[in-house]
Amino acid sequence: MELRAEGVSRRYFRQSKLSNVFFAVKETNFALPAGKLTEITGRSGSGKSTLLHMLAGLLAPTTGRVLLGDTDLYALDDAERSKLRNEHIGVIPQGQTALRSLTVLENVKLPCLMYGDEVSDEIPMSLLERVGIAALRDAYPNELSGGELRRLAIARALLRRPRVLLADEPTSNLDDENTHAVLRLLRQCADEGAAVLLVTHEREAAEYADRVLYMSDGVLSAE
Amino acid sequence: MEKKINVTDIALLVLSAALLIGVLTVFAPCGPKEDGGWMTCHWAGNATAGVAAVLTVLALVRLLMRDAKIRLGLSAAMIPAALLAALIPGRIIRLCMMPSMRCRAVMSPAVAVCAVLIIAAAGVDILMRRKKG
Amino acid sequence: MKFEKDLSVKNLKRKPARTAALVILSAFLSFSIFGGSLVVMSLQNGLKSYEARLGADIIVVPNQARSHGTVDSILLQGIPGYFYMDESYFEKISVREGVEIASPQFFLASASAGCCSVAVQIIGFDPETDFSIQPWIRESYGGAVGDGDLIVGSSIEIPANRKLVFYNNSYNVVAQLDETGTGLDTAVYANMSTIREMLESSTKQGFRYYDGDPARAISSVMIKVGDGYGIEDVANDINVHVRKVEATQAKSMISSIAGGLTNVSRVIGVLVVVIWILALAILMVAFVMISNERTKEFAVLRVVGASEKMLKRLLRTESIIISGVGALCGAAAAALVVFPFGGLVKRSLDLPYLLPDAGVTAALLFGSVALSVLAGSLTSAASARRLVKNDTGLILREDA
Repeated sequence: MELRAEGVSRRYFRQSKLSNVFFAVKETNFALPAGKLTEITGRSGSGKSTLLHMLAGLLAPTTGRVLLGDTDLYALDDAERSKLRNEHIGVIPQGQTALRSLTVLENVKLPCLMYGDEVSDEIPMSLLERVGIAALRDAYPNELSGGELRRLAIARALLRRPRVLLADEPTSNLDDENTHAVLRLLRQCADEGAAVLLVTHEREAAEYADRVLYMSDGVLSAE
Repeated sequence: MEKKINVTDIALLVLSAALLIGVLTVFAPCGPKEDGGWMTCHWAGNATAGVAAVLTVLALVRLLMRDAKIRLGLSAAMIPAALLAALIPGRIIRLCMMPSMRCRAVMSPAVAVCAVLIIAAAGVDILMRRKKG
Repeated sequence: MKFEKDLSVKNLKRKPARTAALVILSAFLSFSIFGGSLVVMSLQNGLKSYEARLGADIIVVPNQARSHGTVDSILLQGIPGYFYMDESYFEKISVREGVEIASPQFFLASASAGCCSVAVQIIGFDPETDFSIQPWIRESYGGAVGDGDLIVGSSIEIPANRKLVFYNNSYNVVAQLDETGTGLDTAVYANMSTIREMLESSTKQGFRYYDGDPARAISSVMIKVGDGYGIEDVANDINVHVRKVEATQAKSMISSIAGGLTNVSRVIGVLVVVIWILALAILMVAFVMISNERTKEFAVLRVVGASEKMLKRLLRTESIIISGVGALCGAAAAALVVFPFGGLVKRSLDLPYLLPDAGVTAALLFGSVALSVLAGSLTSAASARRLVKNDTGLILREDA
C-alpha cells in the first residue's frame, strides 16, 4: 500500500517582528511506494521531521491531504487515526523512546498490548533476535545503551508488520557497526514489501536507498 | 540470600522498639497508688514490655539473617506476638476502672496501634515475599 | 482498559518514591476530613446524649457546693464530688409553684474502688420520685434497683464476682448502663437507702463528709417544671425564696458545653480546610511537574498508536489509584487515632464525647474516601489536559 501526500504544507506561527508566519514544509506532493526504501536528506531544520510527522498522522497539515491507500488520514477522528497508525504505520521516532516502566520485551509488545490484542512471546522475541538484543528481554530501558534503545524502537515499530515504516534519524549517535545494522534492517523491510521512509543526514544511508530526495527550507526535490 | 534491607525490615524494627520504649516511658501505665502499691495496669505494662522486648529481638534477628525463608518465618512469628501484646492491656491483664486513667486513655490504645502496625508490616512483608516466590 | 490499568500500575511501581509521596499527600485529605468529622460528630453526639441524660429542667444544689466539686464537673467529667444539705430543703423546694416533679439525688465519692487509687462517683436516687436516671436504667435493666444493688456506668470495669466494695461494704452489680460519653459513664448508681448506708459506714471509718444527720442528707434536687410555667421563673423563684440553695437551669449547663463544642468544631474545621488547601495545592504542583517530565512518554504512546482518550484514561487510572490508595491509608490512619484514643480526646477536651454508631461511621468513611478520591483526581485533571493535547511532533523533535 502506498502512502501519498497531496499538496501538504505546514505553517507555524512564531513571535517575530519580521514575519510571524513561517513554513516548515511548503506545499509538497510526495509518494512513498510499497517495497521501496525512500531516503530524505537535508540539514536540520529543513522540515524533514515535520513532513514525517504529517505522514505518520501525528501532525495535521495546514493544507493538503495524506492518503494511506484510499484513506485520508486527517479525515478520520483521533481514535480512528490512532488505531490506523497502530496497525499500519510503524514509526521510529528520534531519540530514545522506550517506556521506562516496561521491560524490553513489554516495550516491543506495546503496540499489541495497547489495543488488548493477544500476543505470544514468539514474534516479539524473533524481532529482538533480529535486532540483536534478545538477551536483554527482561531488562529495563535504563539498563540499555543508546544503540540498543534504538534497536528496541525498531523492533517495536515492526511488531505489527506495518505497511509503512517511517524512520526519523534512526542512526544518529550510533557507531558504524550499529548504523549499518539498522540500515540493513530497514532495507530488509522494504524488500519484504513495506513502504519505507528514512529521514537522515548521514551519507552512508544512500547506498541502501532506492531513491534519495533532498529537503531544503521546506521544499522537497530530487537530489 | 538477600542483602538488601527494605522498608518493612526497618518498619518492623522501629515499631517493635517504639512499643518497647513507649510502654516504659511515653505511654507507660498509671503510677503507684498513694499508699505506694501498684495497680494491675502496672503489671500489664510490664508484661507488654516483655513481649515488646521479644518482638524487638525478633526484628533484630531478622535483619541479621540473610536467608529469605528465615526472614519470612520471623515475620510470621511476629504476628501472634504482636497480637499478644495488643491483648495484654485490658484483656489478659485487667486495667484500671476509669477510662480517663492513663492506662486506659493512653497506654492501651498506643499499644494497640503499635501492634496493629507491626501486624500490618509483617503481613505486607509476607505478601511481598510470597509474590516474589 | 486492561492495558491502561496494567501500565498505570507499572508506572507507579517503577517510581516508588514519587508514588509514595503522592499517596501520602492524598492520604492527608481523607485523614483530615474523616478524622475531623468523626471528632466533631462525636462531640455533637455527646452533647445530645448529655442533654438526654440530664433529663431535668432545673438542678438545685446547696450554696456551698462549689467547694467540693460542682454538678458540672460530676456529671460532665466524672470528677467525684460531694455536697450535702438537709432533707428539709427538698420539702421546701418541692412545694414551690411550678414544680411538677422534684426528686432528690445523693452524691458520694468513694475513697477507693478496690482496684485503683481513684475515687468513683456514687450517685443515689429516690426510686419513688426519680425521673432522670431510671428511664435510662430501664434501657438496659428491667428489674428494680433494690437495697444493696448497684448499677454501673458503661466505663466501669465489672469485677468477675460482680461485687464492688465501698467503705468495707460489698454490693452487687446488677446492671451496666449504655454509654453516654459523659462523666455519668464512670459513676455508680444506687438507691437512697443503699447510699446512705455507705455514708454511715464512711463516717464510722472516720471520713467526715457531712456534719448533719446522714439519714436526712441529700445532695441535689432535680426538678421538672409543670406545663404553663417558665423554667427561668421557677428557678428564680427558688433562688429568691429558698435560702442557702442555688437553682441552675439545665439549659444553661448545656449551652456552656454547646459553646465549647462550637469552638472546638470551628478549630477542627479551619484545620481541615487548611490541610485540604495545602495538600491539593502541593498535589497540583506535583502533577504539573510530573507532567512536564512525562511529555516524552506520552508522545511515544501517541506514536505507537494511543488515542487521546487512551492517554486520558491512563492518567485518570493513575490518579485514581494514587488518590484511592492514599484515601484508604489516610482513613485507616485516622481510624487508628480517633477510635483507640477516644478516651484521651475526651479527657483533653473536657466535653461529652460519644462516637457515632457503626452505620453513621461507615457512611462518614465512605463519604470521606469518595470526596478525597474525587478531589485528588481532579487536581491531576488540570495537568492531564495539557499532557494529552501536546503536539507530539514538537516533543519528539525537542531532543534532536
